[in-house]
Amino acid sequence: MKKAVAIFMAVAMTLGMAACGSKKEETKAPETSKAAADTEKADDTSKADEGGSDKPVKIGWLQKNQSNAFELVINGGGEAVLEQAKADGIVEEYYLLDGQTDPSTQVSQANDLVNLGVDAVIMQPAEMDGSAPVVDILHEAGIPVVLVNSLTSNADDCEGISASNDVEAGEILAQFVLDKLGSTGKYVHLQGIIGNTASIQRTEGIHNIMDKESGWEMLDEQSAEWQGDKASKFAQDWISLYGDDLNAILCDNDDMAVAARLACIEAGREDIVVIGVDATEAALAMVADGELEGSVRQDGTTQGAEAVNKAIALAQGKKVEKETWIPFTLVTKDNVSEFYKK
Amino acid sequence: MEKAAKKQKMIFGMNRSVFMKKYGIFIVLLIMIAFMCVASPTFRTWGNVVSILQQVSVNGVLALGMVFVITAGGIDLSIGSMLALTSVIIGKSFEFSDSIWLAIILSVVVCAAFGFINGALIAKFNMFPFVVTLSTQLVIRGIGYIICDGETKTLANKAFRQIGLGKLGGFLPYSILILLVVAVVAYILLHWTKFGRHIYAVGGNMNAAIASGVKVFWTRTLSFVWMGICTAIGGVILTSRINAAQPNIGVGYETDAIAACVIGGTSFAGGVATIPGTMIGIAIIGVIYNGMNLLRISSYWQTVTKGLLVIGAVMLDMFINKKRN
Amino acid sequence: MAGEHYILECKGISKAFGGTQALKNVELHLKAGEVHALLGENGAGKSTLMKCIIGLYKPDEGSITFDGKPYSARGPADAINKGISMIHQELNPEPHLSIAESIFLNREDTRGPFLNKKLTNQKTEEILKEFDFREAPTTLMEDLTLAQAQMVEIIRAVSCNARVIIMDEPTSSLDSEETEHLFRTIRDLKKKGVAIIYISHRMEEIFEICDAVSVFRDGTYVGSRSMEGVTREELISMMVGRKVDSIFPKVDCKIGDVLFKVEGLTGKGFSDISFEVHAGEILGLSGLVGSGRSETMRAIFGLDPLESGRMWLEGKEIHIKDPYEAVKLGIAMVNEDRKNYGLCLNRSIRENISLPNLPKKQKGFLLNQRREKQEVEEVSKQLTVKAASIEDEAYSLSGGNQQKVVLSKWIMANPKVLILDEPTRGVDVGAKSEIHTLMCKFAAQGMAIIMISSELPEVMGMSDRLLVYHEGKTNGEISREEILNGEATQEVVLAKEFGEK
Repeated sequence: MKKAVAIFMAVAMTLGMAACGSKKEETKAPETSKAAADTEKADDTSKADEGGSDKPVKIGWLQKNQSNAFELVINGGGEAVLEQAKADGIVEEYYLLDGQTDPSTQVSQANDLVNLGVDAVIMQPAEMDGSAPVVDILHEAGIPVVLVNSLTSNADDCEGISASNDVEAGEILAQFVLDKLGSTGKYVHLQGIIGNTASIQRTEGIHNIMDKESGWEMLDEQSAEWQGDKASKFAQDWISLYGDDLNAILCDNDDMAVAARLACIEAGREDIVVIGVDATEAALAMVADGELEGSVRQDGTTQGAEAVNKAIALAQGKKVEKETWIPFTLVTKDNVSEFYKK
Repeated sequence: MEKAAKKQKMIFGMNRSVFMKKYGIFIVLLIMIAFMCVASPTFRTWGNVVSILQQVSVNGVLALGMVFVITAGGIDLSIGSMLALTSVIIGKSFEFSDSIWLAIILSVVVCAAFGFINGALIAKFNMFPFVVTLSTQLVIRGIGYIICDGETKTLANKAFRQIGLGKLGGFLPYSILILLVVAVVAYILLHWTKFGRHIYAVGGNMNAAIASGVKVFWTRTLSFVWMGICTAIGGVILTSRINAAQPNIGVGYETDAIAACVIGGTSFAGGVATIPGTMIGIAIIGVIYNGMNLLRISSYWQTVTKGLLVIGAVMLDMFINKKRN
Repeated sequence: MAGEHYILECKGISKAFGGTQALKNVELHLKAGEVHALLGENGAGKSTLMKCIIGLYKPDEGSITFDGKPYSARGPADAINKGISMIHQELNPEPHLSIAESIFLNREDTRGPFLNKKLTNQKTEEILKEFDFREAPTTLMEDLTLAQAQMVEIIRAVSCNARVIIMDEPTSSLDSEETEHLFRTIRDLKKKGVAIIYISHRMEEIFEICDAVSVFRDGTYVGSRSMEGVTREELISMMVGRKVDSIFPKVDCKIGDVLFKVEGLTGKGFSDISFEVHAGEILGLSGLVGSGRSETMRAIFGLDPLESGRMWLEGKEIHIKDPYEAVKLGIAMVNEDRKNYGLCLNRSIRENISLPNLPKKQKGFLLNQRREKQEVEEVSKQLTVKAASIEDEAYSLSGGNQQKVVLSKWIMANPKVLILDEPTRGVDVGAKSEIHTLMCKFAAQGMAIIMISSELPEVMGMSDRLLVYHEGKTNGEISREEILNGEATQEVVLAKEFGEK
């Protein structure tokens, strides 16, 4: 009896969340990625001929969160495709669940999706290891999984991947600093939350390039847990500690880069090169004003859209190409106008 | 009693236990500073002193609010969410008007209102402060997300940055000035007004306060309103420092504020606290963060150290209280 | 009485707490199958003796013999094991336990590591039937009436093979029908040979149910009587005769007009109370603990709600919702519970004294701290508070000095009506007489004083008029003349406290 009530509650709550999600999507979808939705729609119809059934399908999406700027871009890119597919009768219903960047939330939401009887699931993992059980749960229920943006430790088992390689982002960061400052210098590195896939891979990318440069020395590497305020404190203390020795601050995301850069400007150290990943609005605004050297842009819209396309195809029983890697782009003052309008 | 006290060693005209109770934590701070001066040459520089003060300004303002709440026998876990709400409100306000003052006043009014709701729920219905603020914390964070639709926005007003990072005359950071002003106001409120006395009385012994004709409802509620006002001010500094309206910031700030109070001699049993003590608690936390950064110790250890320090401070508090009974 | 068999015998029991001798060479002889009443004023030593028997206190001297063998208990649980159970006046059953769980608490039936609920319930059902108790064993304690919960306690005691059951004021919250049921049960227990120690202030009950009575006074044993042939007058005269150990310096002063008047006050623990106090008068309230004196005063002061009744101050009708309003109107109350309602122990003397008087010390928004300090110094000197400095925390003071701090704060408020609930409790003799002198002084200044005291000589010595409480109602008024000319003796007052007309 108690169990039945619990299941009922879970389903009711999930539906509630899904309702909220789709409502939000109505208002935002048109501006975020109209273009992507249009092109992908064409893709869909071409793929529909490859066999499988045309019965409307149910799609579940375990979103990492519905609050961070970058995740909203990914979500928006995919949700636009989903909305279009629903209007076209390809998708019967879709569920958007907010994982609140918590792997255990994602695990329980995976069970909810199984109960809802979805045909395919998209997941943006909250953590590399922590979210891995989700894949197993869904596979046990015979539901194919598409990972978007970042990977789980068992990503090889998944039916689809639509992501950018964060190692590449780290490499672009490091290469930018080298191009800007030459072959000698000293830098510090601000990481995200330890254990987070993006942070691990970006760190790897940075070291791939920097460790080969004998003229460059890493002074310190600390985790500011993706947070601007913590990054600001680290930047201040590093400027006090290393003084003129410090040439560059490499950040795993833009929230940290923006705050660190502001601390540099305030300390009169505009010479320190600061760069981060994500190309958030705040970062791009500073790039446009010449206050920040640059940012590395990940094409979240395309990642999201591509993941949804894969999921729909899998749900219909079609074959898809497993991995799609969407490249990063470096945004500087020269090309910022393409991505940011005041 | 009196004879026994005379036999004890005297320090600066006080017997030892009184001296330690009043200034023990100050000595801890001095030892930490002395240690850091030796361990790191950078620590001594004026630039670093300014950095520390700037870094503690947000937590400091929060602790100066929290000390009222704890002294009146409560606790507020919702301030982290309130910081985020402030950030969002400031961002929203700049979309409509360039006025910095409007943004600040709006934040203060909204946070004071949420403080009032917290306090009224607790004082009127005698609910546990822990439970009430744990719940309103979710409500407030949710409202922040709703207002900004979950998105981080750059602040449209560039001058606003000056609050968190600018310096008066290129020398004295504004954020430190704000902290000092709040500290002076808090000192006057707690030590020189009827409100402050009532805070002490309500936290010290609520029944005795009621039986002395103290309006307990208003005392408790206003302690939360003051907490709200301080949170809004802290939120203004924090928002200006990250230069963005962000609905997901502020997680864990209540812990730092509570830690600063407790380290500074505020008793969880209520009724005991001083503003100078709280300021020392704030400074100790600032020195820990800064010192460990300078010594290149991983930030995770900073968290561990802070936790241990709070346990130590609480044990000291319990030890003193036990002596009393 | 040689040759008679006693189930429980206490001989020469003494017990002191700090400097206070609570029991002095006390004895008690209890026969099997006997209902034995304990009688005495508040603080006569009845509960201290009971706590010695069930092992909560360890007597300093004396011996206890149970069933012919030397006896001592390490605590209530041990006492129960040995066959002595106590049913407390204020029951605190675990509300979420069932009747069965409550009866078999700490001796549950088990099957391996698991509880055997079925067996426990079965056993309970049988016992309940035996006591004619019509509730299922699975009923939760919180769903029972007070009388039923009490019955469960008794059943629990019997099921533990208790041979002595101590009942402390068992009928205080029962109605007459429930009392009758309890008495039937007691008679049944008697037949089974269980001895019962029955503590009660209700004379009629003692005469109805008890076989013998032992009277205590001031921690001493006065004597025992068989209920047959003893009169109420005899028992009351045994109870009084407390030594007057201090002189009461009551100075007669001019008694003015009626200052404060109440009519028909009703609330929890008291009903239909009416009286008036004049300026310069000390009105004493006497009665047994729980007779409604303190409850009335708390309600007047706004600490507890009033159900009905009207109050007038200086001829104007007043309504008091909380102490804030009482203080504003000029009514002050020194609570009997100093630690909970009197002082903030961890704050200074200065802050405690000025707490109700802060509005008068404000200079704009801020407090005038210099004036505050000055005035606190003055009042604490006037009331001879002994402390190194007014900045000392209240917890560091002796009981008498703490009480003077409480008095100081209300004197500074300059009230029209001053209510004193047990103002000299826990205060040493010196401070006590100082407090009495101060009371006279305040009365002379035109204050109306209402004083509650459980010490008969004190309340009789200090009052201009005495109002006697019995079970939530007033039971007569005694004037100072009657006391002075010997018409109203302690016996008379005590008889009224026990409900005699």
